[in-house]
Amino acid sequence: MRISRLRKVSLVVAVLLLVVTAVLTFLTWRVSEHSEQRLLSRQVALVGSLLTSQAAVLQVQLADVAQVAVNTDANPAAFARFGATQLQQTGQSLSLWRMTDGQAEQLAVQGVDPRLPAEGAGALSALEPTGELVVLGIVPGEPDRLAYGLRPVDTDLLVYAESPLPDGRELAAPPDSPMAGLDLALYLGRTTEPELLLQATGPAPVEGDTHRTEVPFGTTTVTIVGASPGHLAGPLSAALPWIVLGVGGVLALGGAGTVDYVSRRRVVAERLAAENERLYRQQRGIAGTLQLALLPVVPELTGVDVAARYVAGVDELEVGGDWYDVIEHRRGCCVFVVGDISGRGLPAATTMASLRFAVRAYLAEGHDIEGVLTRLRRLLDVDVDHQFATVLLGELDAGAGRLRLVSAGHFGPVVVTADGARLVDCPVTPPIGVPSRVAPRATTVQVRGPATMLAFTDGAIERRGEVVDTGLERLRRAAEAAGGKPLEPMLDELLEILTADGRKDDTVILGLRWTG
Amino acid sequence: MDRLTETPRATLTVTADPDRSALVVGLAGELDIASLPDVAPQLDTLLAREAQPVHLDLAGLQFMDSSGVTVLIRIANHFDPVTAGNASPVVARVVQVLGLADRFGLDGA
Repeated sequence: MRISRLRKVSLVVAVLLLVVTAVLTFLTWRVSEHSEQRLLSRQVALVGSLLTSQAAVLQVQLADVAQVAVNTDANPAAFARFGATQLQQTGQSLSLWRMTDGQAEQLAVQGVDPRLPAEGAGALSALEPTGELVVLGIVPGEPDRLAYGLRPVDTDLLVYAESPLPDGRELAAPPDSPMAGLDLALYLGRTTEPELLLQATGPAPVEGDTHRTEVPFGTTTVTIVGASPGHLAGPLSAALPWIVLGVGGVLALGGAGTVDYVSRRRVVAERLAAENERLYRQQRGIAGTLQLALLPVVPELTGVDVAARYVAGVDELEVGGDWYDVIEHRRGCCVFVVGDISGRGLPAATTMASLRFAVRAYLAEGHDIEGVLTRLRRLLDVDVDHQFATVLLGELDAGAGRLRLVSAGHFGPVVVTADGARLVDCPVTPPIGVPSRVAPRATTVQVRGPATMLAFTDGAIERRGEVVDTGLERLRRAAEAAGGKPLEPMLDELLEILTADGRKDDTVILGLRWTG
Repeated sequence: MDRLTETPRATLTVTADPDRSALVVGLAGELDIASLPDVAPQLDTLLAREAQPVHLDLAGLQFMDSSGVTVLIRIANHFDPVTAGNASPVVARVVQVLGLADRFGLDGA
């Protein structure tokens, strides 16, 4: 019979479609859950890096206070003056101590009196003169305080601080921070004992599907436990399995044509989940990724060690225009470039790329660095492009210990030798893009013995409201202090010091080291 | 973007100074990549004028980054002669390290 046959077919189709719907619902749910977990772990990792950078800020603050104390021979008045500027919230305590034969003697206090850990001043003898931030624990009281300290290298002075933990350990997450929308709990150490809880956004312990990570904080560790009460990928992603189930169920009753539709829904569901993931990733990393892709891998040269660092600016959503390059000329002789395009975004990045390759091309044509700089001037016009570029071009003959330098609006390099670090004074012609009739003349610098040269962009030294000379001197001192290290760790240390706070621009540091 | 709205906006004002017989262009605020759009319309109007002597009064300029310097350079390229004055040490050093001090008569600032 025709009718019963049709009914049988539609029943089979309906059953088949219901099964298909169930499978699709399950798959959509899996995709959504999986992307939730990945987003959560990424966001907790972001909170971790935020925390690590806060530890670095604390370390720099204490190190600054300690440096002032060392320089003024622990003068209490100087400590009071400088210490007062470092106290940022009420109830904080900052004190200066001198260690003699394992005994700590208090020299000065700023803010409230220190409460000290249970074992009293004896606890301070645990601080070694490493110059590192040491967290001593939570000191109970009203309110509880976090105790930490720092003892600079090679001194008997010690800076000790206590900061009150907020009421009920409440962690306020600003809406645009990585913490927003998460249930978070931060614990001192590797365990999640309630008494070691530092701060939490809500009731601790954190419930639900949690993600846990440990990050270094000074010499100790902070454990972060996070969960997402809502859906990180958005309400649509959360509702998708239900949408698929509902739509699939209704359509299964509608007939065979539904198969097509449900498959389409599944594709849409997966695409949406992937799109969420992609947007999130893009937002976090596109600038850094593009920039790194445009920058060269430093070459291996005979007789010269080369290392370079690039750090994106604070506003990582936009590409910058900083670049560096090192080109081997002949054995033991190389040309290096460090430059900075004014402005940001794609226009700056494309100008950067074209100037970088133009330098290589002019060198390949056999021009010297003066000739390259003169020719670069033709490639950019501030009236048309609304950009200009500062460029430092140099030629290093490592065997002869000779540097030749030309600068278009760019800082000269810092040279570190056994005698210390100095800033090379290099006559500056106007930047590329600004009309100039002055023909560049190279400065020749003779360097004796093994040496390290550092070329850099303004992100390494500039701070808002500060004359650049202050930043140059900060870089010179840091370079002198780190000069004894191998090149790669040296650059890491410089970056840590120079970008610890207040940085808004991109930063490039290029290091060349030769034995002479 | 809270950070951008917190930044004091930059301004560019043009006044005719009869004593100097030059156009006086006052720049004030914090002139950087974020505040460039604030002065862009006034800058375009200014650059549409005929070439004539211009004096830049930088007294109100608290901060300037390299993007901000493009404003000075474009004015200097269009008018002749261009002089500048009242720059704070922070601003004067930015012009100086870029090798542009001669161009604005800011040498020794």
